[in-house]
Amino acid sequence: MFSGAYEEFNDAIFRHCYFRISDRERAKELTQEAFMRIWEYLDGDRPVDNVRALLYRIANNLIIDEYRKKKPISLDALGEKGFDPPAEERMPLGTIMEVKEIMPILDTLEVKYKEVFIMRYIDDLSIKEIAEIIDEQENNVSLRIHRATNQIKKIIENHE
Amino acid sequence: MNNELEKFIKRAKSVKLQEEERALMKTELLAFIERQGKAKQVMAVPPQSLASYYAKFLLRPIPLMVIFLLLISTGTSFAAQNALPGDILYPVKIHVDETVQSWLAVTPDAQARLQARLAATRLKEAETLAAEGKLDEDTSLMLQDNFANHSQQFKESLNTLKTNDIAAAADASSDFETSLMAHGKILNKLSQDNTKLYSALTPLVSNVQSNSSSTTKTREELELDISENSQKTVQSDVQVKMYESQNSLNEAVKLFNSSRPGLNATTTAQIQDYFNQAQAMIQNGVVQLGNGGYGTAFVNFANAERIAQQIKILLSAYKEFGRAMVAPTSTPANDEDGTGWMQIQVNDSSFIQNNATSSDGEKNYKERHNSNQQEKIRIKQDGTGLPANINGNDQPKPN
Repeated sequence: MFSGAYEEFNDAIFRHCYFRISDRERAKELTQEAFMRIWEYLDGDRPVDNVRALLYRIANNLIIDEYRKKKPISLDALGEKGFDPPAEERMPLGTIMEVKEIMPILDTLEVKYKEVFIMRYIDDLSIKEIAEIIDEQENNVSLRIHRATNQIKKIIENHE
Repeated sequence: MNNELEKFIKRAKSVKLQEEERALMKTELLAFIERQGKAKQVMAVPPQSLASYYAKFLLRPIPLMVIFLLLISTGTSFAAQNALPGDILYPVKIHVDETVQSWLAVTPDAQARLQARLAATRLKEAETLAAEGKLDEDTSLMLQDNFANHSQQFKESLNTLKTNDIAAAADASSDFETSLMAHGKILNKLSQDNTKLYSALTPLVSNVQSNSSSTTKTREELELDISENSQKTVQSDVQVKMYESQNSLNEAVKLFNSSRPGLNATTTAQIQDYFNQAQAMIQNGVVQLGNGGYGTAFVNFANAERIAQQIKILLSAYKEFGRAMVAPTSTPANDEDGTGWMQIQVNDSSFIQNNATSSDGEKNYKERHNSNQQEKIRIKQDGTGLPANINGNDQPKPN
């Protein structure tokens, strides 16, 4: 079960962590941590009906811990230690939609809206699953998704 | 849902781990599981009792394939992951573990990348044995044969991939080329450091260089096709490539900064020059992407990613073997005429023209070959030969 879970969900969990904390290296570490914890859970002979939901719940808890630590890592910080890459020319918004611009757009959302938007549209989780993972009422989850979607739509439209 | 939002979500969903990252993470997870002590318990159990151990998992609704994979991939292969030729578990590694991986690689892209990874694994095994002074000619010959096998299977998978997804084929080819160049340098360096290994390593190095040259040729053909036929390249593919190249560069920078205290000044300066070069290529690619030049943008991002990947492999080898591998070697893997020049291809004539100044008299500047709209900057491996204004402050002029 563990091997299958890893093969099936490693990209999805990584993606989820990455968009939530905006740090690729740390997202890889959290992904690994999530799979280590689920191994420990499975190894403890506890019944698991939905491995996927459990993985997301574990990842969500790790991300919440990460927010509490508030340890951003950026290339600016690396520049202080040694190599300074040349300043990047800032791409004007509205010329093209780039993968790199997904992050700043998601970061405009409040944490509670961002998490549900990512879970619903990028992770393809159901409202019920999201509600279980973040321990919220389904109605609240639906409302947050609706608000997050409207906000993202407005930003995208303004960039056109 | 409106069109723009759908595009946004689709791009977000395309973000994923690279094959090497996925494989490394799996290796570390297996090592973690082994440290938990479960692997040893499983391995200590007589074979007839394995069924009872796995029966605990069989009580849950698990697909048959997962059960099968669990039985054959977890039972004995935990400790085999790091086995080397001569170790008892080495046959398990190559005949069980790697066979399972091959069954799971169901697409031409996955198969090509797997074969490239397995070819690199054979080279890493040779490097580890050579660094320990334990590589003999028979073992080297065995590794050479297996390496050649995986290289051939890579080529066959690539041929299939080319017909369906040229960008993925160029990507896979580029990654394999980078891996071969870097491992060729590492093996060559190990051979120079220990003359007793010369007869064991020379045929292997030669084989790697030969495969490296043919992979370079394939990659160049694919990238020429991409750059000349922009309709073959989707904008979103190029954007993902841009992202991957910047990401790879960032990772190489982090690794460099963590390795820096042990590197000498010459090596440090060389690597910084390579970083500047890669960053300039990315900037160029961004401009071309904005102007709709998807093909040339892709090639620039691919070049930058190759530089970053090679630096990562060489620095990782430095960390493992304690020797700097980045210093110029006498026979670099990608050196057509033996002069010590590393070939970097840039499909942007305006970049070269706008930066064709050589006010700095200490630097040999450039030698250009024009062939079917391809241009090559020949950069000396000692870091000289770059355009005079590429050292960080000035921006390359856009098209």
